[in-house]
Amino acid sequence: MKSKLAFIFVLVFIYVLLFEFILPLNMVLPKPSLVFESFGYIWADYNIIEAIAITSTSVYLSLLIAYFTVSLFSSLIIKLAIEFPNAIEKLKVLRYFPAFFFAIIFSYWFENSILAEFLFAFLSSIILISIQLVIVTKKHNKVYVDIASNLGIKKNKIYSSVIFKNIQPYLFSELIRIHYYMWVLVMVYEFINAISGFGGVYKMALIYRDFVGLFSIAILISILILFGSYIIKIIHEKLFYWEE
Amino acid sequence: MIEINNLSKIYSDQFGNKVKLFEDISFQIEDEKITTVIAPVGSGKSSLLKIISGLEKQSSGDIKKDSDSKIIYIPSDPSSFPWLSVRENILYGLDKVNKESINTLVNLVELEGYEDHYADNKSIGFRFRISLARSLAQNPHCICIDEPFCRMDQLTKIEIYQLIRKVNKETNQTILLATTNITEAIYLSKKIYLMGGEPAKIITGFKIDLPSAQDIFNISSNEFNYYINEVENNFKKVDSKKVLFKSI
Repeated sequence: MKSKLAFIFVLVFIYVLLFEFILPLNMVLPKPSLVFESFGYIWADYNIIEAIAITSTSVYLSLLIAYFTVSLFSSLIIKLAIEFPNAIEKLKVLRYFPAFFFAIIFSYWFENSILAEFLFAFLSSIILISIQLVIVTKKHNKVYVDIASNLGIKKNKIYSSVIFKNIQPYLFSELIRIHYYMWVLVMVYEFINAISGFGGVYKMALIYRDFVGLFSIAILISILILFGSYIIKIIHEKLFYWEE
Repeated sequence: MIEINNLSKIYSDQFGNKVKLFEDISFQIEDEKITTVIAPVGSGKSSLLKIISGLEKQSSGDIKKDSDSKIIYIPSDPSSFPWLSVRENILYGLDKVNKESINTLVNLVELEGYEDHYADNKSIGFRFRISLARSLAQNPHCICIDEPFCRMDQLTKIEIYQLIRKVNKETNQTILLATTNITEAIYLSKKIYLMGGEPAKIITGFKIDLPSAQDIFNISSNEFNYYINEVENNFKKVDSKKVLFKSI
């Protein structure tokens, strides 16, 4: 953590030195003093509070509900991953489709609304978490499966109460990566549909050609994502103490 | 009694070739006693124990037992579920729960006071005690213990040797042990079967006739050395390339 903070501090120092004093007029990055000033006006100009509320609710609430939904159907997903590995392998072709494609398809199907955005975020989360569950299923400890079947436990119960429990810490730690994707996906969706949220804010700032504002919003989003990762890490450490 | 008759195991290697792991394995596991199969690494001890426990299928041969009770397998890797407490581990897979008998088991494996502790980050010895209690809770016909001591330190090994002997003495539990170590086999068992060669076979069997209160620190006695030499000499006749361990 300390080394990460030191690295960020060095980057900020170089940025201030280079773009405030050495190259104040450039076409690469805005002046640090202008960025600092913009933090004052973006809140009102772009309705940032509403953007934070909409985008982060879409990302985190959908992740939370999707995680519980996948947990509920874990036995079925693990069964498919173990008993039909080839069919699951074929589904991997979907990863070559860019996020844009799904966002456009979805906005074609549904009218622009926050509810549709949440539905899009929820379905994306379910798909991403389920894919991760299939991947981490390979990490399960076969010793526990042997023990459970030796004790006479039925297959479906082994999937849910042994394999899922065993791999749950790995799955939850993957949520950090999944939640990065979710931020991108949700913002792409908001950008395409020009609705409230950070994606919509970006679109507006681009129309106004407010490069300094875009830069400040990017910094704000980074801080929010970092904060989200930190919360997920803390939950992971507290709840999933049995990671091997 | 459990009778193992002409058991063989053939498996396919990574290139699809058929490999015979062991063949014509026949021996008996006497009720209420500790029987040990001693064999070098890679001779199929784990597969043999898994077949006897019903976790794997043999290629040929059969197993006869005079009871319908389960045969429970304890692997060499820690097998207590780390997400469950000691009590939950012991109760796992049980339909009916008798609180008193669970407390007796906890006391027997010397885990009293740790019932609500979790198995994660605990020592191998601690986790073995949980696995042993969980197996005993099933009231099994036999417990197959696969190389339990290979990852334990000296002190823990001696504690667990004494625990296994205590469990056998106090509950008359039939135990089948697999090991690569001659000394621990002689110390713990009433009967030893020596396995070796390629494919592995039962070379010979020894009945161990040592005082039941044999002290683990008295393993240099003449009787003890007699059995060690017997096992070693018989093993060398069949397999001179592989080794069996002697020290604890």
